[in-house]
This record gives sequence, C-alpha cells and structure tokens, in this order.
Amino acid sequence: MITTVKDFIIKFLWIFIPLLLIGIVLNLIIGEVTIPIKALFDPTNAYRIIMMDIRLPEVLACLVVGSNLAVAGAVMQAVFRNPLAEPYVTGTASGALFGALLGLLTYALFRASPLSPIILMPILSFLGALLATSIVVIFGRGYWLSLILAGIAVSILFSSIVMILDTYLLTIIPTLPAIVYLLFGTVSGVNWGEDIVMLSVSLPILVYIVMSSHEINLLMMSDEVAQAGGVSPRAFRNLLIALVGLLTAVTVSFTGIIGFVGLMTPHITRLLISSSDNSRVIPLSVISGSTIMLYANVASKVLVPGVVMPITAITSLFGVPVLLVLLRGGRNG
Amino acid sequence: MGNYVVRFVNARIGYEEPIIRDIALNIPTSSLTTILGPNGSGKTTLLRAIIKYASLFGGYIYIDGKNISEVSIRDLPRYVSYSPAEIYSQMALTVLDVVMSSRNGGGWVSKGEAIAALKYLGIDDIANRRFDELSTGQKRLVLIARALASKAPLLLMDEPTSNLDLGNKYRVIHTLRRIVNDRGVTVIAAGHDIDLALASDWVVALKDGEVMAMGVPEDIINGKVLSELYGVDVEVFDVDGHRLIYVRDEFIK
Repeated sequence: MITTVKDFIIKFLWIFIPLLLIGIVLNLIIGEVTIPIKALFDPTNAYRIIMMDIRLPEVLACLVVGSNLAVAGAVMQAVFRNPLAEPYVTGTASGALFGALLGLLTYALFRASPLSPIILMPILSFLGALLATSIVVIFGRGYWLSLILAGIAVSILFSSIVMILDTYLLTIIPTLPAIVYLLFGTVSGVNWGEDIVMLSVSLPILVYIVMSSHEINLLMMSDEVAQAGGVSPRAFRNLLIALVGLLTAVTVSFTGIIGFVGLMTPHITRLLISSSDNSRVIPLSVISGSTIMLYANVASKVLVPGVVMPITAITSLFGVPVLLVLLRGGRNG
Repeated sequence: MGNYVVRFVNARIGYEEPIIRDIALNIPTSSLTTILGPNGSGKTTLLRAIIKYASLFGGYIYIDGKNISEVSIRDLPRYVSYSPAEIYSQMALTVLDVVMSSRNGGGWVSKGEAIAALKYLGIDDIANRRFDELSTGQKRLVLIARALASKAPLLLMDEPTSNLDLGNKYRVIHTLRRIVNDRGVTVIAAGHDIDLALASDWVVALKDGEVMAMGVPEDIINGKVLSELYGVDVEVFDVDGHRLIYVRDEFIK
C-alpha cells in the first residue's frame, strides 16, 4: 500500500498534538516555583497568581513566537528558493533587534514621545528588519550561499551596533534594565499586554500567509510560473518579505533573538509529512513551531536549576546540526 | 477564439531596454509552433512577453484577441500556462503537488483533474512520486500534464526537449503533437531542437531580436536559413521524407 501525504499528516498530528498539550502543561508547572499538577485544576491563590500572571503569558508567548518564526522560516525558504533561509540566518532578526533598541533609546531620550515602548519598539523593529533584509537581498544575489553569507555579515553588523547601543543606553540611564538579554532570546517576563500586541499583529498575518500558501508554492517554483499563475512575483515577494519582517519584528521586540526555530521547524515538518507543499507545511509548522518553543522554554529552565538559560542557546543546540546537515546536502532540503 | 491565439504587432520587448525590435508575428490557433534561434536571440523573452514578465516598450500583443495590456496578471491563467525548462524542486513536492499547483481559470486544479491529466499522458503511476527524484524526461511530461490540467488554451514551453536523451525527446515531441491534435490547444515552444521544429506546424527563426524567417518547417529547416541563423555551414538532406541535418565543419569528422 502506498503511504500518501495524507497518512503522514495524520501521523504528524498524532505526534504533535499530544506533545503540544504536554508542553503547555509542563510550561505551566515548571519554573522557579513548581506547581503540582493537581493544583492546575484547583490552584491556591499564590499558584493562581503565578499561573495567570507569569506562566500563561509565557505559554501564549511560546505559541505565538513558535508560530511566527516557523512560518517566517517556511516563507523565506520558499521566497528565496533557499532551504537555509530564515529570519535569524538572513540577518532579519538582528536588524529587528537593532530597530527595537532604537525604539527604546528614542523613548529613553525623549520621554515626551506619545508612543510607549510597547508600540514604538515593534514599529522601529519592523523598519530595522526591512533594512537588514533589503541589504541581504541586494548583496546576497546570485549563488545560493551568497544569501547566507550576506545574512551572517548583516547579523554581525547589527549585533555589534546593538552591543554598542546597549552599553551607551546603560551609561546614560543606569536605571534602565540591561536589554542585552534580547540578544539571547527569552520568553521570561513577557506579560499579557505584550502578548496581546504580538497576537494582534501576528494572527492576521499568519491567517493571510496560510490562505496564500498555494500562491507561495507558485513563487517557490519560478517567477514565470507565478506570473502565469496570476501572481505578480515581484509584488508578492516584496509583500511576503514585509510580512515576515513584521512577524520577526513583533517577536524580537518582546522576546529577543531566538535562532534556528525558523530554520529547523519547516524542515522537520517537511520531513515528517514527506512533502514541501506549503499549503500543508505552513499550517502544520504553526503546530510544530509552537511545540518546539514550548519545550525549548522548559529546557531553558530545567537545564541548570534556578537559572533561566537563553532560549537561543537551546534552539541552537538543535538547530545548528540541522543547518550543518543541510549544508552538507547542498541545496537538498 | 479567433484564428490567431497570439499576435505581435510591431512589438518592442525587453527588460531595462528592448531586446526584441518591432516584431510582427501571428501564431495560429490549435498549432504547435517552435521558436528557434541562437542563444541570446530573445526566444525566452518572447515567451515571457506573452505572460507580461518582459516589458512591452511599444506596439501591441494580443492574446486570444485581447490586448495584453488590458489583461491583469490575475486573469492570465484563463489564457495561458507557462512551463519553464526547470522548476525549483529541491524540496519535496510530489508529482500531484506540482500538477495541482496549476490554476484552472479562477481556481486551482483539483486532484481529479490532475490525475486525469496524468492518466492522459500515461504517467498516473508516478502521481505520488517525488518530483525532484524523477528523471528529466519524466519531469518534462509532468510539466506538460500540469499545463494541460490548467485547461488554458495556450501553453508556453521553454526548452521542453533540452537535456533529454533521444527516447525521451521523442516522447515529449509526440506528447506535444498529441495534445495539439487531440485537445486543440496551442503550444508555443522555444528551444534549439530541430527535431521539435520539424514536428511543428510553424517555425519561427529568431535572430538578434528580429524574426529572420517564419513558415512551415519545410520552408525554414533548410541549409540556407539554418546557416544564416546559427552562423555555421549547415546542409539539410531529404532522405525518404526525413530531414537530416549536416553541419560542415573541418573539426567534425
């Protein structure tokens, strides 16, 4: 009997839905204070406060961040026809972080600004993401590895600027909390307000991208195929790059740079369902990306008890081998 | 549908600047037309102009009687399907995914329509195979099935027979001939393949962005036209109704 993609998708869901649910429960109970499973259903006041004010916002952040990065990665891989593309590798995330920091600096210097950091940071972060991606697209044309090399160069450039800016910020405003942690990525401390901003920006974009996944398939094949298929490749590509920039910006502004989730999630999804059809890969990557983020967050808390590790360190531990395997296999995804 | 599915009227076509100058060309409906020409002569640009991917600097292009300047990109799939020589297929797409990624007028090709097209070409047994793992010959047939499933009246094929062994080349030529004869579609193929040109209804010889000659294969596939087109000394012999191409070159023994 031939195993069809549909069979693989059913298997995928059988694996990931329980993993996702268990991941949510683990995130609710594990932390500085361990909450007994029984208390999830009948919490004391203290447990309720921890769950409602700390753990649930973190869980929601994991779901949104995982979805955003996974979808951003899948879209970039299709748009650039490059299996190594993702916001971290292409420098988009570093540009976004630079923008976010600029937002914080603007707010710190001109307190009279009518926009609070929660709004100002994502807006400038978006502009930073677009700037970085544009540089990479311009200088990374041609050979498929050029895009990645340009991405690394732009990442280093913006990370350096971020470090200088961060040090400067701390010098002029010593009371400001160090935000260099955003370079390492974390969902700790994300609150409901930030979740709502992230969700209200991300949800419409994710829905639009899922609904456009057939058109993304056309763009993945060739520009002429897209054009004859009724999709203007230049306009659609630019729109997708802007939307990925927005997803990255809103993610980076509140949780910092989380590497490789965008790279490995679409590949894991493709591998498990044995298909690169974006109408399947993109929606399923929402589930696998969320799940990966939930477990990365748990791992960041339990690896060294009492210390929250940077999530990028955890995701890179798994993501870098994926990158190396992909490099060894050439362009084969 | 008129007598001509595509008409170029003094069209100047290119990208930053025109590559093809003042071209006047009529492609008859329900025909197989091959555009021949040396590298850089503008063959692919001509195909791209029909899907508005190359810019029109002057003149007109009509597709199915309609000025393409008035056809929106969104409406293009109603008129035309485009098959490139290669598609980016490093990622795992099944044959069905590839065929179903085609527009069928306003919507997308259904699974049933995709399987029907594959069955028509006799390749439905590979429907669930990965496209990137197929031979070049099979890939070309799948791309023809994809074009066919779109039900577009005009199919554009860029180098449909390039990099194919003899058997596969004739399989593709036979298939293109069959879909024109049986389904009444119009196929315009660009490439270097003289055998494809010989099997066509019309041949356009394109050189340096201009139509050097156009006509039935008998009028174009001859020593004079081919020698001028490619800049080498070509002789064409008629043997039992088959044309044999011979290139006179001191280095060819």
